[in-house]
Parts: sequence; structure tokens; C-alpha cells
Amino acid sequence: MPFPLTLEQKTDSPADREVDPERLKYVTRLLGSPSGLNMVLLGTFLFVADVIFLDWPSGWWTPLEALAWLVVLGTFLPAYERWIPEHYQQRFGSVQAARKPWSKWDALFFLALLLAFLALLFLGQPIAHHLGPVASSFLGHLHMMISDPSRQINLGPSVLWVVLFCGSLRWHMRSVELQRLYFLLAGMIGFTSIVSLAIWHPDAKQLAPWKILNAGGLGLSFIALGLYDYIILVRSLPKKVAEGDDE
Amino acid sequence: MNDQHNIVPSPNRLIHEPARLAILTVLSSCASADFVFLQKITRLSKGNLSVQLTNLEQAGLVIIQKEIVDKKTRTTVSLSKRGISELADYWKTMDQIRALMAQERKHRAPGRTVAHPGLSPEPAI
Repeated sequence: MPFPLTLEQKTDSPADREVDPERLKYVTRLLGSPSGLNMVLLGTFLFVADVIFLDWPSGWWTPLEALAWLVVLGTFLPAYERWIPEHYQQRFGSVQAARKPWSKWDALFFLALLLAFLALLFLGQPIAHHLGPVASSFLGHLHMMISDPSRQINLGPSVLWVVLFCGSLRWHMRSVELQRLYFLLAGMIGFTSIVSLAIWHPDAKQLAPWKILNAGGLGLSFIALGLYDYIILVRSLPKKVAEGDDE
Repeated sequence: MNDQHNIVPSPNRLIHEPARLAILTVLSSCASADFVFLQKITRLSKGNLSVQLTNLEQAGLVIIQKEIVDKKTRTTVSLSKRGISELADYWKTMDQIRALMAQERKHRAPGRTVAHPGLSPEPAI
């Protein structure tokens, strides 16, 4: 809910005469978090990598595959290191994220991670020996439940969206949080539809579009999530900036 | 009612101004922000933003740092310790005011009709 204050001084946007603290905080934190375009970049990399490893016919695909790898690897680092940060600085400015002071829960979590790492280091092999068949059996049951004995359906993206959606639910949600919730709901429906299509129409698994969406689902998810964050920033922060020596 | 008006707390006038409140709210959500971002998110003109930042710096609420990056001046602003505590006090004051207003609304008789066409059911402030 906008804060009920009126501007006493003239601004460049006379229509913006209310301070919305929640919107200000949300956009500030969004810019301070890892950039949406970086997530798009990572998603593109994952998508290309996953799709390339599908069972494509040889011949015309091999040079195309090589070209795809060349483009992805050739642009990934420059984009991550230079192009994206420069674009963000120019378009949005910059924010340094707030450093949260360490709480006892943070310390406990870090300790638990350290212990888990040490346990894996020394006991990784026996753990894998025992847990491997258990995990494989669990996944096997899961795939049997959705009539996918050959484990062709990629459940990862659907699980990711369900987790993100459920994790975003709150009792009292502000408008910006509600918008994100609707987006996550749409993503959840979209990606579970890919799974549902294969369950209800098993022949769909032979179609190339389904194979691409199924294999590249995780990459596409990251692309969608990154684009959403980027678009929120674009809509929240005007492009035009007054000229001056502070640019 | 008069007694309640007497005990209504007053918000910090320096912070209460919308442009300055917007700047401080943004800075409370990050370690620091540069001038470009502050201008875009508050939609203030360059001159207006400079004036507000100067006022806040003179009041000791923000710290302004300037550095040269790629032959351009980059201004970075952060909240000072005093700014953090005064902003927190400001929000507490506003919460108290909202609570008092909510109490006042609750104590009004339900289904109250206007006694005279010229009178509003809301008390004049």
C-alpha cells in the first residue's frame, strides 16, 4: 500500500507523488542480488548444453553443434565479466547489497555445511555405495508413478518451479510479491504441462519440440527467471537520466 | 480527543519529506547506492537529488563518497549510523501514529449518520 505522503517539492515526474517504501526496498534488493541477465546467460549455457547432448542425427548436426559450442563458450565469459555489468551500471546504476550480520543460525548452518563436506570427503564412497541404490530406487518409483519406466521425462524443472512457488507463499503478500507469485504459478503450470503431455500422450515423447523442452527445461527455467527479474528492473527504473558529470 | 492530539508523536521533519524519505528508504535496503540508481529510483531531477543529499549529509544521516572511475566521477551514498537509528525511530513514530489513528476509528460509534448536511462524520484535523 503506498505510503500516504504528498511531495512538497517539484519532481520530474509530477504523477509520482507518493512514496512506496515496499516497492523501493524490493527494487533496491533486486538490483543488489545476482543479476537477472547473468541467470539468463547461465540458463542459455545449460539449455544449449542439454539440447546438444540429445540424440540428434549425425551429418548436418555435427558442424552446427560445434558452432553452438563455439558461440556459447566464446560469449559466456565476456558477457559475464564485462558486457552485463557494464550494461547494468549504465542502465540502472549500482547498488551494493546490505551485509547481514552473522547470527547464531548462520554460524550453525555454516558449521553443518563444513561437517557435511568433511563427511563427504572421508566417507563419500561408502555413503554413495549405500545411498546410490536408494536414490535410484526412489527415482525409479517416481518415474513409475508417472508411467515413465524408461525415465525419459525430466522432472527437475517441474520440481524447481513447485519449490519456488511454495517457497514464495506468505500470509500477507504485497503487490510486488503477488506479481512474482503469479509468474511462478505460470511457470509451474507451464513446465508441469510438459510432463503431463508426455504422460497423457506418450507419443509426444518422440516429437523434437517436446524433446527439446524436456531436455532443456532447466536452462529455460533459468532464462525465464532471469528475464523476469530484468524486466521488473526495466519497468521500475526509467531509462532517461539527466546529463551531467556524474554519469 | 484533545488529550489524544496532545500526545500524538511528531515525526522527524527532515526525514518526513517524501524525497528524502525515498532516498533514506532505498539506502536502508542496501550497503550503498550510486547517484545514478538513486536518481532513477526516486525519479528526482539531478539538481533536486543533489540538494536533498547535501541536506541529508549536513544532518549527518548519510555519507557521500566520490571517486573517479574511467575518468568519470562516481558518487556513492550510504546511511550513517545516525541515519540508521533516526530512520528506525521515524518508522516507530509512524507506527505509533497509525496505531493511534486505528484506535480513534475503533472508538467511533458504528452506523453513525451525518447529523447535519454540512458536517462530515470525520473530525476536522
